[in-house]
Amino acid sequence: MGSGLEAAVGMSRKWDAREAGREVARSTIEKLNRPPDFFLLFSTIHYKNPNGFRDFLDGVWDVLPADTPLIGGTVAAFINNYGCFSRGVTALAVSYSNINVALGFGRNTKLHPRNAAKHCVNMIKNGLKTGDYGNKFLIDIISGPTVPNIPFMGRKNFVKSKVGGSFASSVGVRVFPLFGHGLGKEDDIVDYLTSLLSDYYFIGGSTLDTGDMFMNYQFIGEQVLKNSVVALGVDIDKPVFLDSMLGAHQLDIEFDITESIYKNRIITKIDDKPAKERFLGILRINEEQFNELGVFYYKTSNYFPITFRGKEKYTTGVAGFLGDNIVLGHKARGQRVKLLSVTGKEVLNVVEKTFQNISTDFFPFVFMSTSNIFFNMLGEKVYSIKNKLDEYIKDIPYLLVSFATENAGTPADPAVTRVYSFNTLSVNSCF
Amino acid sequence: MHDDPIACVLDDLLKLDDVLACMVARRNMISVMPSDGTDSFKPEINEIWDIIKRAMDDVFTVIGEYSGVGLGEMEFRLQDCEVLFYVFPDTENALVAIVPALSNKGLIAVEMENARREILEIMNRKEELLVDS
Repeated sequence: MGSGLEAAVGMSRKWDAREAGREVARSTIEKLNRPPDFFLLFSTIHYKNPNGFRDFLDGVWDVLPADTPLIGGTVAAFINNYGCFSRGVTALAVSYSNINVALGFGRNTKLHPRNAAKHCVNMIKNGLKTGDYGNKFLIDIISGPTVPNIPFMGRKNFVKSKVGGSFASSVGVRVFPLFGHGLGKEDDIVDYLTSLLSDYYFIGGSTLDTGDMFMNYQFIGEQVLKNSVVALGVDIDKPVFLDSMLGAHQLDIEFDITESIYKNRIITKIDDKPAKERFLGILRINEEQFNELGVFYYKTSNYFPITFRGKEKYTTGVAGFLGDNIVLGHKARGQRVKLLSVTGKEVLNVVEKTFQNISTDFFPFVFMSTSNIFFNMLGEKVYSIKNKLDEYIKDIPYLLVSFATENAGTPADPAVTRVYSFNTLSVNSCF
Repeated sequence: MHDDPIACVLDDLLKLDDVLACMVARRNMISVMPSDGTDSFKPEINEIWDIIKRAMDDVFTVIGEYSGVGLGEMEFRLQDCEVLFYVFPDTENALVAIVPALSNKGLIAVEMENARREILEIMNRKEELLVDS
């Protein structure tokens, strides 16, 4: 590369956490001619057992040069030049002379999302205040939602009884964040980040486990965090390429949110009827099917995300049911709701659309974020995404990670948190 | 058994929480088990194992009929388990895994596909060695 910008992707499938850390670091940076200027690190949840991720990160730092700017977190799956994986660890490293990099983090995202975002932004701004190469991007990784373990009840994101549901909707949702659990509030965080860093390109998402929503982790430097936001700010002299597309289409099914609470995150009435009853009626799900929650989540609601009339860039979905109430993954952005639907073909079309009309000749790397729900839906057919990526960027180090939710945007079209999107970041190294 | 590379692939698959049992099988025969055989299967399937084995044989009849014309995967649900069949192309053999009924099948399927590809590679290498010799 004449520009001096290098990038590399590595990975490991070792079961031993420390060995996996060493291997992913080694297999990534050995392809670079100079030490990395930043290092993105992602792992599936399989090292969750006590000290697992501590050992894992220690293994990475056994190999990585000290003080390398590093962020990352747990994801459900990833695709890179080597294949598709729902177990393993992977990394993308970049080295370049005309670049400034800063790290930022904020804790307690579920209880104080804006404070966490503000702390993170202050660190980024302080870290990048000297020099200006002219093009800035931020990679943000936010702790995703977790379902709390309730005494005598276990982990539940649905409560059948109306009384229990009412209590959970009014008290429970406010108490859980005190213990680091509950909704991720990624929407608040991203809204605030973009308002404070309005000249940045954004890409990122929220961490998760395998989709059970029990736990998730974020990495920054040598730290393993929970319930936090971590970010990498980059100032570079190359133009940034960023694209974000939705892989879902609108159905002719709409309804009105006529009552909501908890800052529009919990719907209590749809079309003036109890929310759950009306929503199941719209989806034509009977009570017996609903009781088999697995059917609902994996075979139905995953395919019915929602958006809002007039604000179609926002998408979300159902996160749980509390009695008659519906908990949304993110706050409702409007009253009129439109149902969306997703097919496997649509996902491939979005990948094709991203790359078919651009030249990737001068992309030194490609980093992508997408929804875990696409991996759930496609299963082994996720290799069709890899085949499509290989048609366009096979010879470029690339990494696609699956998050619980994603965000991506430009200064002209700021990032929002949403699901069912496909987001792509690179830089144009010919300039 | 610990030297069998296909058994090692099955060992890896069995380490996933939601994989209760796995094997390479065909009708009336289990060709390859994980290194510790059925001892390494998770205890949840002990009660249901015999029924599942019988049901598998019936499914392999269908696999035998249609694998030559592109049958790739099959699955069925029995009580609280699902049995997944990932067919080796143009053969009557399949990689079989038993998972809980409400497990996150999408992510398991990714690793099933990886295991199928690895086992195919091992089988092809063995064939090449036989041909060369």
